[in-house]
Amino acid sequence: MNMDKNMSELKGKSYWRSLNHLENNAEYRKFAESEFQEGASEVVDPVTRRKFLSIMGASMALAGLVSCRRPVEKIIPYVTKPEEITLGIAKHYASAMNLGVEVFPLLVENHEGRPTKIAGNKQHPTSNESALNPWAYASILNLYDPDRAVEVSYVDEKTTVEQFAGVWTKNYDAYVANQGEGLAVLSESFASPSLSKIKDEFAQTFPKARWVAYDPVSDENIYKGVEIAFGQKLRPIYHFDKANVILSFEADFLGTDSNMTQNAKGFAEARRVKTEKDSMNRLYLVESSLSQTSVMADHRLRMSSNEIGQFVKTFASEFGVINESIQYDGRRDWVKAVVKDLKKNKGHSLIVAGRQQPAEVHVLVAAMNLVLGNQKTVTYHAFDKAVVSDSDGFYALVSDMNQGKIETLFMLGGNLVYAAPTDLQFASALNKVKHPIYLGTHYNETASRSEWHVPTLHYLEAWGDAISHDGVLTVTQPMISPLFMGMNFLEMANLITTGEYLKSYELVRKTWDSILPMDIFESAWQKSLHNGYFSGTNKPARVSVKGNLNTFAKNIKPLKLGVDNLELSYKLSPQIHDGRYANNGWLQELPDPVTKITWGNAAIISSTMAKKLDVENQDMVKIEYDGIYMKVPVWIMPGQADYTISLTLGYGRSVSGRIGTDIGFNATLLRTTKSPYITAGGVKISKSYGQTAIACVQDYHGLDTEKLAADAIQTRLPALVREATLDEYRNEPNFTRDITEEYPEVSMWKEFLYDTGNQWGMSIDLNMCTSCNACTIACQSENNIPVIGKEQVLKGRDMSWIRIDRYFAGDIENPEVVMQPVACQHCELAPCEQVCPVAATTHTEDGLNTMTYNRCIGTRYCSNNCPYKVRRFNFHNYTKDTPDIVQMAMNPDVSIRFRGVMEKCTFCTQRIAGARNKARLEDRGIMDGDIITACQEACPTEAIVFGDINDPKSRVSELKKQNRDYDLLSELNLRPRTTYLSKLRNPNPELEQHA
Amino acid sequence: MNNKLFKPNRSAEESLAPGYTFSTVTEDISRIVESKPPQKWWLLFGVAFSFLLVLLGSVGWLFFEGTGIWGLNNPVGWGWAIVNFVFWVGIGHAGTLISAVLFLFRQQWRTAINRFAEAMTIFAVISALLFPTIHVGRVWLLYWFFPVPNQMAMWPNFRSPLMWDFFAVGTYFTVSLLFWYVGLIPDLATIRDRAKTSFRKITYGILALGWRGGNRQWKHYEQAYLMLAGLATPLVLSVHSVVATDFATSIIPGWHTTIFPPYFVAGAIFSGFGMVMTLTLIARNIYHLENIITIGHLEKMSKVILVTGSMVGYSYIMEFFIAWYSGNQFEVFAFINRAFGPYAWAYWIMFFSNVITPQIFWVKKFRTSIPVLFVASIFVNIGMWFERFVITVISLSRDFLPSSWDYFTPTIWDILVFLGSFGLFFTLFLLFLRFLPMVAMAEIKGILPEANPHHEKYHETH
Repeated sequence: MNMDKNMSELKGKSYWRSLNHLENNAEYRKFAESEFQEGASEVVDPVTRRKFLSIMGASMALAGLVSCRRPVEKIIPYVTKPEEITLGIAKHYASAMNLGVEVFPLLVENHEGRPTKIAGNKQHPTSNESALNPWAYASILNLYDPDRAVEVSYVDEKTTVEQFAGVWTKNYDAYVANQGEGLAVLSESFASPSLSKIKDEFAQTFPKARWVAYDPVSDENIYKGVEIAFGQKLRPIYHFDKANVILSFEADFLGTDSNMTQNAKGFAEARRVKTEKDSMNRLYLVESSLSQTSVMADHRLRMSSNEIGQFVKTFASEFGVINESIQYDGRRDWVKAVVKDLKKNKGHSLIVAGRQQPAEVHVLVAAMNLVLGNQKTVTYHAFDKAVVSDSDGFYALVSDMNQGKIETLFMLGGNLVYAAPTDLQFASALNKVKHPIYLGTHYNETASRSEWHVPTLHYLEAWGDAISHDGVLTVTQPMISPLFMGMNFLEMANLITTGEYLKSYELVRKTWDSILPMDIFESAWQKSLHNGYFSGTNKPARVSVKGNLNTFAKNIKPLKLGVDNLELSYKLSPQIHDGRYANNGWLQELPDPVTKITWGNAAIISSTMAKKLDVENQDMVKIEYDGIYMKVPVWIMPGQADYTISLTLGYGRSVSGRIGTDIGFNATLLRTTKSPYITAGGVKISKSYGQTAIACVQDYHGLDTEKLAADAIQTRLPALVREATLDEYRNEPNFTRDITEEYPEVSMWKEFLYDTGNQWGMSIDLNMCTSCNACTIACQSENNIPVIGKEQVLKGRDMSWIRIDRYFAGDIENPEVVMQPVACQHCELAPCEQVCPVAATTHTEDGLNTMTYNRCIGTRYCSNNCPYKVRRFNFHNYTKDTPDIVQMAMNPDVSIRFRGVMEKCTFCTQRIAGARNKARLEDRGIMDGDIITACQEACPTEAIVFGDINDPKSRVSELKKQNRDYDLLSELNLRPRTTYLSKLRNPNPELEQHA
Repeated sequence: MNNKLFKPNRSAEESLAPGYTFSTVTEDISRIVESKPPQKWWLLFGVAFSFLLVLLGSVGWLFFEGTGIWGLNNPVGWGWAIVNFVFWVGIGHAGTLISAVLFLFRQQWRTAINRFAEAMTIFAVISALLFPTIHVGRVWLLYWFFPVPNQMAMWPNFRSPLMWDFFAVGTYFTVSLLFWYVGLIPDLATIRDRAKTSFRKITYGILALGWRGGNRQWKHYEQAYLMLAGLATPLVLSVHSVVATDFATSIIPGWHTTIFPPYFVAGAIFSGFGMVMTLTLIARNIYHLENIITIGHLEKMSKVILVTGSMVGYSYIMEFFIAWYSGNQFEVFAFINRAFGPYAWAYWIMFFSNVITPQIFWVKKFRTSIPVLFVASIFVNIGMWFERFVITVISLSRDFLPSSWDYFTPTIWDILVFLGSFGLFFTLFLLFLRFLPMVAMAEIKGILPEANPHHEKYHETH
């Protein structure tokens, strides 16, 4: 197409500039060599530390832009109060967030037109809960990201959405005329009725054009496997609540896998134990790298990823799914026992495999589930109005780009210059496209190589819709008018397809017009907006195995690994996903659930490997595959299979904002189209020079290097995290309290009894905690906890009010992992209160240990004297340079703390006060469930329950009555208001404790 | 006549080189204040003052930026600032002990060194008070510590040991200052009387509070001095006992122990004598006071160091025993971790310096060798600083929940503030040497033979 002549000249300039960029591909190498570059050196340089401190700090220019963009008439204070708004009282609206084909129905807290906090929409029939995963919780911060792209850019020129729309409209007719020859759209996967509709229209308007969806990490292998097995394109949905026995082949279903929150909720339901008479589920886990799911494993088998395929075949043979001779490889007892257990629980068992396993594995898994009659524990749903990731399609598109067949490429979201497998050379392919047009939130790697960059609106700024696997329609309502210029996906897709620039509201209305019943459309629409959804159904498909599975099984061939022939696997970052949340400070500072690493990634290896390589934590190593190498620090983890390396994706972004640039190392460099998840064999590792500091919030204490510390941890652990097997619990129902001796309590003075009114308390069920980190992020969002940056975390000053302690027990090669969320325990005899010289921390009559920030002078004595070390000190003025826009994300009900002030968990005192006010106005007492703390709200497994312990019928009282209830550090007699329920495991008696 | 009553006067021979008369004592000591300081003084003052400037700079940056400039972290909320505080308070102990306790026990050898031990006390307590002041997060609100009526109707929390500290150290400082000043009055009058310029006359005249040296004045003076000595004596025990409660009343393993108050007092005297020894040797060298501060003094001090050092050593070992005997796993770990954990180096520096070093003083040859004394006193100073480091930092770095354990690493600002506090201390001390009589002339004269009413008889017996 002939674009505007003027523009194509400009374009020419850009082209060469881009190519220079491209030739400078060594920039990737540079990455591999040092972690900190120009921008990031500020991070470690103490001189510019303040700049860094305000890690979310905006430049003045940007602050100016904010005010430019905000039309004056909209920020008039409420001189005349709108009828429906009471100043200071938050409103809650239903909305939704999409992440690939996943839908998170939301309830958004809105303060005077400013969304500040999100939680799950409990009324939504699919999710049915207030919990979300950390990505969803933290997405509110993305709205207020000061580094969001604020203007449409054409090459280096700033322009507007309207101008862009005008340029496309001019070219539109020509593309219609040639049926879309040379036109392509590259989007992420989605499940949206409106977007699907537009995609269909696109296909009609431009029959020769292409629309490909691609996600760097997706469930494609699972879908492919299911399709091969059953002959239909289906999406498996797991119902863990109905499964008594679960066998997982490296599925991190409680961690980064799809539907984590739903999985966790179901899993918890089948695992929850109230008395010694209850039963609980059993989880067998086979994996190469210690995952978050392993916290819940009753039996864990350590095995390299590629070997797992062969192991699945063993099981498949046992179940008669394939007829191949069974190879036990010394694991005969394990296999036999697990098979027996699964068969015993026919119909109530479940086999799952990780998305990184090849399609062949998923074929066998699907077939085995069918043989086991697991129709209730796993259902298969057709993709309705959803478009899933299609790697082959994407690879084909790139090859066409390379051949110059693509003239105009629209990239809707994603950041493929960064995230596409390295051998695709996507950046160079993109240079052969005449008009690359990118719709993305940030000026990033892809934007910098595109002709046009149109900023994407945040999902809370525009309309959208989604459909969940069970057919329920969900509407995404905007909560705020766009802060910056931009378009949302629907608007852009519609513009491409129709040449018309329509607003998202019209587009969604138009789609729903055809879905909602005509006669009552308006009322149904209003109701959908209110509830956030419109009921629909997508019944599970009936499935049966098609074809001969033996042929597929033959493709699974394990490799013999060795020191020079390693396996490398890539995992989604539990914090910043595939890199899309790299500029989100909350997520960067969130510790990895298992390694506890923040602000970066590392090559995870086993201690045996480390000894062979003669490396320690933080030592740089060189990882080589197929002629490409990268340098990265190592981190030794127990439970990692020998001869394997795990790397998290999403780090090492070269063009991101002030937070995400040059944090960690880019694992995509080694990732190829041949082996996007597991590179089995052919990987070499060698020791390199130097070290890179890794900000880990929980010291490793070299379980094997410092014996003193390791022994102390093992001595303390049984009392800190009390744990037993289900059988032990049945034999000794009081085991939890019997672990420590009870001493008679004689008080030397008349004690305050705390026996009237509401007495707040909390119960945390360790048997439920999957360490998903949702509580930590939700707390950060609710309580305005500052982000302090890598340098400060390295100094040991992380600010999280609720942290999750991780301990390993047993064998270093294959340890048991336990997790313990710890926040302020609100001790009745609080040691912190006694030592404060100015009485800044005191006790309320309803049993809260309160911090009066205004009174605190910062002696830090309270923190020293806190045996739980839950108090957090503002060593610097962490919020000094927080830009206006980030301040908008702050909860107005919680004060911002100044430097020199101690802070800690308040049991969400603002929510308690809110509920008390409400109850008083309604002339009633506070009822159980009126107050839900942010962490409780976020917990998918309901491990955290808060309430009135003076009310014997409250949920928290009921929990505290259980015989598994105990005080952490009970020997100190501090009478903490937070108590724990001990952890249980349910090992198979036929198996010795771990193979 | 061989009356025991006369025995004290023999100490004059040990406490002073023979041949001194009233006038030579006055001359030798006043001369220092009246003449230009030697070059060595200027050199030392230059160094000390530079460090004082470093202190001012570092504290300025600290106030501007916050306590985050130090290496503090989450488990270790108290670092070098508190270590330095306890270190300086400890040093401040010897002064009162020498002046008050030894005075009450009629140990006349103290007269040569008591003035400067007292001065050292005052300056050490000033240096000590610096630290609790600057270590708080919001220093501009420090006055909330003071129990003054205010519009918030808020009292400080009297249950907090930090509050007790405030009173204990405050009282100690006040009483020490008074005691020192009262002792100075007769000597100030001497300087006044010898003054040649009117400026000096007026300044020292005001400071001397109209001292005429009359009989009644001496009578009142000695009563006041005795009473102040009586008041100061319990403070020697109380101040460091209270500082010890900062640690002992908390629940942190390694802090929560009843041995702390006596152990801290012994340690304080030990460190105080260590510092007095160091300073004495320096002053003696600069001003050639070998005849006034004799080997006899130094030997006695080294004996005190030996005794208190052994007490400290006993405490170290007893702590281990009690930890084991308590059967409390946290307690046991806290102590094993001190000796064999990541900070073992600090523990063994402390142990060697404080327990092993003083043992050489069993040998008279070492007690009377100036170089040995100097080196040993430096070891004691280092060892006692490390003792406080071991107690404060190691205990905090690994307490109850292993998840929160962390290692403390000081930053450049920790180091500069610490060095700066020496600048403050030595600047004040050198100014004292320059402008005030560093040896109590009046008291020295009191132990000269001439001062003895039985002077003539005494001579007859010989």
